[in-house]
Amino acid sequence: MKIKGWGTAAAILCLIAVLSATVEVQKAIDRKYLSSEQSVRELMYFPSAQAVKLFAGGNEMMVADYLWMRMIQYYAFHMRFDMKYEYLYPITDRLTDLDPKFLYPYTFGSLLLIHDARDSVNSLRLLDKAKKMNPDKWQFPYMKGFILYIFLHQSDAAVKEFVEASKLPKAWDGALRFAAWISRKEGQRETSKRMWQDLYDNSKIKSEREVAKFYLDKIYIDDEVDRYQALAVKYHKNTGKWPESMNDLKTAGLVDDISKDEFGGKYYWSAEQNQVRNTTQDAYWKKIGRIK
Amino acid sequence: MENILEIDKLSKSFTDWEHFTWRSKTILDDISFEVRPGEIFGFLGPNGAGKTTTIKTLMGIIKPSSGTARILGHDIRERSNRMKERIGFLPENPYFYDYLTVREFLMFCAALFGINGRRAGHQADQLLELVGMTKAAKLPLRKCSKGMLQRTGIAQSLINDPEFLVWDEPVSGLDPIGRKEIKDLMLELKRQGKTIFFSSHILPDAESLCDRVGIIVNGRIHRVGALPELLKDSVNWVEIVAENISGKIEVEGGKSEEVSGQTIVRLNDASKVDQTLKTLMSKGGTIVSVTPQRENLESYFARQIKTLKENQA
Amino acid sequence: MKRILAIALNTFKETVRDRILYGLIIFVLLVLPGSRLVIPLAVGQEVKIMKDFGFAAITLFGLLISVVVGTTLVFKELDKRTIYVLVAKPVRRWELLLGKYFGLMCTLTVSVLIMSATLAVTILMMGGNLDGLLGYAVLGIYMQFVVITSVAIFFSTLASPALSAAFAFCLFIAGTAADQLRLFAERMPGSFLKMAVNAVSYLIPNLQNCNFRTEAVYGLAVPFSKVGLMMMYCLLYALAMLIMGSLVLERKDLK
Repeated sequence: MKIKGWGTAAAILCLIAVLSATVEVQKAIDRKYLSSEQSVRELMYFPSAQAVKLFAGGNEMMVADYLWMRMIQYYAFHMRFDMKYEYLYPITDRLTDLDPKFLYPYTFGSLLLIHDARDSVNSLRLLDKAKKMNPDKWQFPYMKGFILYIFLHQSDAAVKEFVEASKLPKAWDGALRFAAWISRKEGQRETSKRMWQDLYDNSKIKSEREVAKFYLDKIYIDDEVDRYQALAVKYHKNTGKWPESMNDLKTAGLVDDISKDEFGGKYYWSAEQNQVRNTTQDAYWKKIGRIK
Repeated sequence: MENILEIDKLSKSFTDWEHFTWRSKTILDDISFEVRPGEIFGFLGPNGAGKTTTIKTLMGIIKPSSGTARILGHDIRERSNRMKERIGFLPENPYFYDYLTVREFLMFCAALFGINGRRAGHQADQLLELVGMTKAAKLPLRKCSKGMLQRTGIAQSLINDPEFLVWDEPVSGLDPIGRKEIKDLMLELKRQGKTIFFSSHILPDAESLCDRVGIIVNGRIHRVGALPELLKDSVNWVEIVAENISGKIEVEGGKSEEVSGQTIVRLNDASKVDQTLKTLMSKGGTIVSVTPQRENLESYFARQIKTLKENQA
Repeated sequence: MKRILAIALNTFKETVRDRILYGLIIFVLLVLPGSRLVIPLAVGQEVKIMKDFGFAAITLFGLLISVVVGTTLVFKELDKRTIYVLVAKPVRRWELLLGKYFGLMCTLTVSVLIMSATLAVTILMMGGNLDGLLGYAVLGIYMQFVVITSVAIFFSTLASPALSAAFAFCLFIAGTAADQLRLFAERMPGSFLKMAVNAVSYLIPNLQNCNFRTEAVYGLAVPFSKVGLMMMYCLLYALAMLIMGSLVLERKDLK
């Protein structure tokens, strides 16, 4: 009996040791090889939508849901670390092959592709696919018009899309309004602000609203820079010289206070260019290659 | 009156894939016999003789290769429901649905005969009492012993009050008391006018029950008939028991031996009885008993099998 | 008819007492907490994903019951020799087969109802709406079981449970892609190949007919006539399978 008891205890201790070792080995594998990139790269070995449809037994929509969740995780990971989104389009493309009527991947995917990945070609390609698969949905030509106008500054093409959207069932009347504003060549910034505001107010996806807020805050910075620049011109008119810093405007009583922007950036006077600048704006322009 | 069961040149062969070729094996070879109304017919034979195969063929479990058989006037190949409504069948080593209780199983069997509701319940309870399973009515079949399953099997074969019973090894798995109970039941059923066709290994039981027997060996019917007819040619002898015999005695046509102070003489020739008695009395002996003996079915059977095997060799 | 009902009831008892329905408890435990796990990852698509997940789970569990139990029903009777007692009773072999089929369909009906109710409650708890389209999707899944159960029972008259289950699963997978096979047939070179592939595509049960999930998830209309034709197709296919199974069982030596 005694021998049996020791044997069982030894076996249990062995089992605990082996299981712990297994966990440690797995952790080492994860540290060395696991990354969102790795797992997404594996997703690329995911069989084609055709193959999945053949073998999914009618459950391809659930597979699409899985890819949707992976897409969100992939985006969140890269947004945090390196802002490189090499596989964003392939995942979204595969996901929409499996479930062509799943609307959000098209709109959210195209927005992320243009905003974060700076991939206008695939962003528009995704929306063209959406329009083909869902010809009665106004959201897709609307989104295409949105991107063409805001990001690509192609006004005429944007108007065409907004008009197309306005003719589809249950279209939001904003599509026709935007078409009208753009056609009348009203201020690009003002129109953009309205479009972003509309997206912010109506989107059900938190990340989409965050993107819209980002642009609204950026537009606000642009407005503030213009406002301060107009005050600097007034200072120049009054004093015959340009201010040396933003404080000069305050001292001259032209402004009560110069606060930081939503992103924590500062407004400053650029003596080289005789312009009001903003550190957040500088960082953004540097990122998109507008300045060095 | 028409025979209950008539078999005419019934044969059954199985074809199996063996050693990369199709091989045909004959299990039943041109068997023919009949079972008369109201009799108990014992179907006897050694293991592998073909008893169960015959019964399975009759019940429609397997198809005959050739020949015919009729039960209650219906050809077995028709698998007529009207025939099945009048028969009761007990398979060898019966297996039932182990998720049902004993009573539930009988109710299910009753439902298959269109007997439902209260009538089925009443019938089931009566049969449970008949086979001594009343206390085990609510026991799941998976918890029943072999003997209990056997009794349940007998009960289900009677659920439709059949005219003709086909029982394969009915007393298998039962203790001696159980065997006696079933034998008494069989005699009672016969008294009620039912016909029973059963197979058995237990030859003394067959001897005490059967009006006629059929013996099958290696798929062929060896003998069919009433027991007295079959055993008519079997060996007879006379046993004489005597006491106080002084000295050794010589017996003509037999042999003698001393057992516990008694002399037992076995005479193969019955005509020598008087002469032997005179010899024993002349030796001062007292005659205790004179008993004529006949071979029983078991030894008859063993002797026939041995002879057949010798002939085949 | 009464005999078929008696066998069906017996089969239903068998599946219930075999603890098949305990699997439903696992389903309930999976779906409800599972829905909580999905929420943070779904990014606004919780109800859609719950519906997709729910339909997939009902299909999987139902398929397991249908195939695993269906392929063993007849086999067990033969293997355990319980069929000997049945065959000697006034029960035709096709009545036995039908009884087994209806008994298993009773079990599946109860299972699908419980799983659907669980899914409906979960969707309501997540703030989603219930409509008739959900019912169509579940009906479609159920009709798939009507077909696959008959296929499983047919195969069980021919082969061992393992082989029968493998055939039945393969036929299910092929059946959900049967329409693609017809498209594939159109691209075949030569009229004979075209005919052959087309014939195969009609022999395989077209389970894609039964898929109303897209409509249920995206609120698209489902014409009554489509549902009616789908049900007729499934019932006819199942009847064909059961007739074939009966023919095999009639001729079989039950040794």
